[in-house]
Amino acid sequence: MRVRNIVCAFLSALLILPCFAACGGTTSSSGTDVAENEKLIADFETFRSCTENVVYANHFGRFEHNTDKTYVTSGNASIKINAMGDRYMSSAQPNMQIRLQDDERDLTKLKRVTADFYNATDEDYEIGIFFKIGTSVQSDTPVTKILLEKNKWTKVSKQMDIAVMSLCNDMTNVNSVCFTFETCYDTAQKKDVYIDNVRFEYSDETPQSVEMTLDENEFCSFDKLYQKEVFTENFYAVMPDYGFELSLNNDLRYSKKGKSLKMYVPACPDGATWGWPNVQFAENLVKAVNMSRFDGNDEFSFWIYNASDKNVYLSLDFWRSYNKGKRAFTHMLYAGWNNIRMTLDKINEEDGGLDLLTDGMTMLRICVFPVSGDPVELYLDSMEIIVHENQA
Amino acid sequence: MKKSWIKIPSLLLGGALCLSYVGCNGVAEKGEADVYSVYITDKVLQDIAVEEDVKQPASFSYMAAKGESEAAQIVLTAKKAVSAYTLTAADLTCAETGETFAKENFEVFHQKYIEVKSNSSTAGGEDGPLGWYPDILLPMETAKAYGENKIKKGQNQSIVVQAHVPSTQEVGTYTGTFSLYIDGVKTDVPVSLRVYPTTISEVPTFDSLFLIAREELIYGEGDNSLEMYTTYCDKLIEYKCMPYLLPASTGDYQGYAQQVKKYYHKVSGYSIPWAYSGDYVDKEKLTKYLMEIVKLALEDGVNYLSKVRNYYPLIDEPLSQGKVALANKLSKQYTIDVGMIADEIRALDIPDHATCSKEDIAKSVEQMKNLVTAHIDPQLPEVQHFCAGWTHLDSEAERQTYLESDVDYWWYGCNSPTNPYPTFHTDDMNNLVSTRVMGYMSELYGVQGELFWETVLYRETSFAGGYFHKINTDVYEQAMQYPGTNGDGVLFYPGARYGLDGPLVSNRLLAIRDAHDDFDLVRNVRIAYEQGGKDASAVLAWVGQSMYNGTKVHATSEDLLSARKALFELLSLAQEKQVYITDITPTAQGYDFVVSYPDGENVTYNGKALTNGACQLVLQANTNAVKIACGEYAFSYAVEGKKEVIYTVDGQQAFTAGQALDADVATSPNKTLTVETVEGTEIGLTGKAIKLSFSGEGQECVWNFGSESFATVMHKRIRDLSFTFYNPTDKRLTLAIRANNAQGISFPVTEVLLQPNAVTEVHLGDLTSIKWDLHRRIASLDFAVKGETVDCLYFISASKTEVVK
Repeated sequence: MRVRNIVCAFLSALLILPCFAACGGTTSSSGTDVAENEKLIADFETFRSCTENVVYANHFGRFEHNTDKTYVTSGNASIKINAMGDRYMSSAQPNMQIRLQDDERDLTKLKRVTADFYNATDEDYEIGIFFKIGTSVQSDTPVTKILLEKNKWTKVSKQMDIAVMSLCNDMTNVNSVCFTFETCYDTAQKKDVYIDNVRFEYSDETPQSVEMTLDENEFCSFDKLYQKEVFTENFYAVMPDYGFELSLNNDLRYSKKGKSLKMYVPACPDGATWGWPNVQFAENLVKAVNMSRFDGNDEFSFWIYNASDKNVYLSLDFWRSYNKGKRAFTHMLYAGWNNIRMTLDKINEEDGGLDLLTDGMTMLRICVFPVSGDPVELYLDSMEIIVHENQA
Repeated sequence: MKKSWIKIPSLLLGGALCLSYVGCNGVAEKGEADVYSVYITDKVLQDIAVEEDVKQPASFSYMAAKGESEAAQIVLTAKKAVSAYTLTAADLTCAETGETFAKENFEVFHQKYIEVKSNSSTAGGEDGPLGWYPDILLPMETAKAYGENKIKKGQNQSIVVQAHVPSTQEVGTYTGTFSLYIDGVKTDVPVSLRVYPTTISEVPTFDSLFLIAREELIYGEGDNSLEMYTTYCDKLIEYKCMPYLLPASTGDYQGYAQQVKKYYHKVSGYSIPWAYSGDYVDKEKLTKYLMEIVKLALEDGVNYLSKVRNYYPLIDEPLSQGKVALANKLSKQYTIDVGMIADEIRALDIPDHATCSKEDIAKSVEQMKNLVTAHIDPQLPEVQHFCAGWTHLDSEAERQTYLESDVDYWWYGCNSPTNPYPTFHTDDMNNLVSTRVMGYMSELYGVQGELFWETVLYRETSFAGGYFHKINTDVYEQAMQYPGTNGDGVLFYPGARYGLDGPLVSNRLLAIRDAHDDFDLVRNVRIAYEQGGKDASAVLAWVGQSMYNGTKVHATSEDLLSARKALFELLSLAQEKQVYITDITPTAQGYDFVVSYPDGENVTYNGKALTNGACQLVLQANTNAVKIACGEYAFSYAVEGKKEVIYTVDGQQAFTAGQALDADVATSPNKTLTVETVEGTEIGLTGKAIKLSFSGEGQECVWNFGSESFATVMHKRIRDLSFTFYNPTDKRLTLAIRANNAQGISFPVTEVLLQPNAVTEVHLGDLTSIKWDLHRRIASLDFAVKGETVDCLYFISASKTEVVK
């Protein structure tokens, strides 16, 4: 069975969601006013509120419960952050995860996240905001970076495009709102940042879902507007000047048609634990493509340009669901353009009779093996299913 | 000796009975309290009344070696609410020498309590009541600064004072008084400290590996920086427990080597940070760490690698976590890898140091332990270093397995087991005693160290929906941070609550520190004997039996104190007078002692003078006390319980042969058991014996011992039941013993060994630990020879030792 023109709406966004009950303004326990369409998520009024529903990850460093009113914008206290991280650990930047209560986890009507940050250092300071999605198995949304000017308050107000975020994430089940901080290995520097008054502002209505439109046989061309949101990057080893970066490329020398996905892969430094940089395509995209509608000898294909002069290995991982039914294929990339192709039967036959493509493939991940020497740039394009017309 | 503690039914809930201490005229009344002492290893709950006969006159009494720290406590029970109390230490003086013990050597703590809201589900028979348990040692000055030095009416409040005896302190008895102020009213509390002529080393001989989860620290301290982790490591080392990893970032090879250099002389052992490559230890990273340490070792002339023992969480608990194959694979490769790294070290182009050669270091690398949290098991042939739970080594047969297997073995603690085995549970009423007794038994059983899974579980670990979840909780308010156990995984409390830069210590950690000191004290006795060409094993085991059977602990605080006193006395007699107790053997009437002493010394046994030369003494039946004295030195000790022979072949004791031995219960259908009374001369003994002859096919040699009257002997006051057998074979036999209750339920008791061609008295161990409420009546015992076929055995006698009330 084949479907030639597929227009696939993002179904999860159409689910009927529990209504956010915001019936008039209220006052928080600390006496802070909360508007009708707002929810105070954290105001750090007690030491316990700094620990009770907060996770401090990646060798975080220190926090203090601050009652110095100079650094308080609502109530009587705030939290003072002295994030550190660990130079040698295989971990990302230190981050603080504020767990959401059960009645806060549905963010389909979230309009913006606001918080008051005081950067008490003599240099500008970069923070990030992201969400952790899910319950037992969690995924992260991309991090939005925000610069805090030195020695002043910054009212962070980050508008959220929930409709777009929902392409990749189940925004009805958000575990926590998270802030990343700069690493600071020299503990004598004490880069202090104060946070107060973290709030969510909600819309009255659920935003209209974004349609995920695909060309015939397309998996991902990176040319459509929504396609900048259908992949996420994962990398577990952050060191100084050592990061994996994804960006959309407009340089036609490195694309087959239109845009391509640029992957900047750092070289693995001596002593570092490789972070297995990978690009992961969203479950919703995989579902929209619906590979089960193709025949077994049709081929999954993509092009990848290796802009280095050395061979690079990558692993192509198909998943049934997280940690279940993974099928991995290793390929070597030579310098220049490489076309990776494999029949759908090949993808299926690797796993003792289970039919991955018709039985719930949920995720595709392209993972890069360690590279040494200089960093490497790879460009990914034209991901599609090649249909062989001579089939019955 | 009696087991004594609190009168549980007479609950006095302090909160409920608390009355205002402000009088009718608005003037605050003076607080008033009943002040008394209890043993430091006794737990006095805040909200439960203490039995009068447990209370001792208020005093602080210490008995310590040089270099040792010991604690003592007094308790204040408020008759009227106390608004402020404090205690100040003072110098002590030795009347004999005029020497001073400086007050700076004392550390005064306000005892803080934590509420146990539900009992440890894994706890056993002597689980404590619900209520407020003493567990947190808060410095008195901090308690005053935070206004916590107050007592509600009816509540108990302990004051714990640690005495840190410098290694340079002169021997002697020091006395003085501390000042206790209750709402401004001063009371003098007498203090005595006896310093004995032996030294406990700053670095314990007994190794340990305690985990500190750095990521957890922030939830208590607001800080999980390397500095804070360092503070915790230092505090753990101060309490003579060794952190798993020294404070350095993982992957910082040079930094870790520098930490090894810094800590080497302070620790009994340390580990190299783990890194894996697939299912194996990452050899490349292990090599990098080792090579950085090797460089420093050859520079400084110190073999810094002589104290390494590694632990790989990847293969944690392989027998219960389905990691048997992985553990074998990793362990086998580890042995190969460290051998290869040792060869690389030998081949290094760096000159040897005069005091440390590459060969020395290479040998140390080859000997680096890979500690695996499992007991000896045939499924783990590649594992060489076992960390077994406290229930293991309980039977003589298993201890023998370890001793003869040429493997290193440690204890492993993680939530289980339960009382009467040692536990670190807050609500185990006797674990401050049992923890300390572990130090004693570890030395005797050849256990080399102790691996404990976690010390700073500052978040609750909850299991739900098939996953472990971390829930942020206040560790001061929640004793059960891990499902089913109170206090396990929490040996520290965060100091941030009190503005302190580092942790508070739990009473349980203090007991662990003291256990490690006790290990060295026992070892010092052994060394003193060895220096005189003697073996202390027999007398140490004899003293030990009053505190534990197998690994089950039945000692009270009083027993523990008596044993420590006995150790000091044995040391003094050996060191000062060369008087040694070299052998103790059980007899039908009691014990035979062999005492060795130099010619010319005037030695007395229970007041009677001995002749010169080696002498054999017989402790009379129904007497359980011995005193051996020489000059001003004496060893006096009383064994627990009253030993009584309950069966001999030719005696008219509790049973007749026909009643006691039931020939019909040999369980193998192909076996026949014949029972006959024979003359002991047949096996070189006087009197008579019962010959058990097995015939027919099959290996199972099983028989039963029991009768109606036997059931009357078996009751909950039985401390030990022993049987004497003669094994006529050339093989050592393992005898498995099971008990059968009156309802026909059978359960294992122990496994014992019968030595070849010898008479062996086998002990069933601590029968007080049997769940008597469940089983009610033990009708009989089954004996089975394990894994061997024998033609016959001889049964000679049975004895019981009963707790004297």
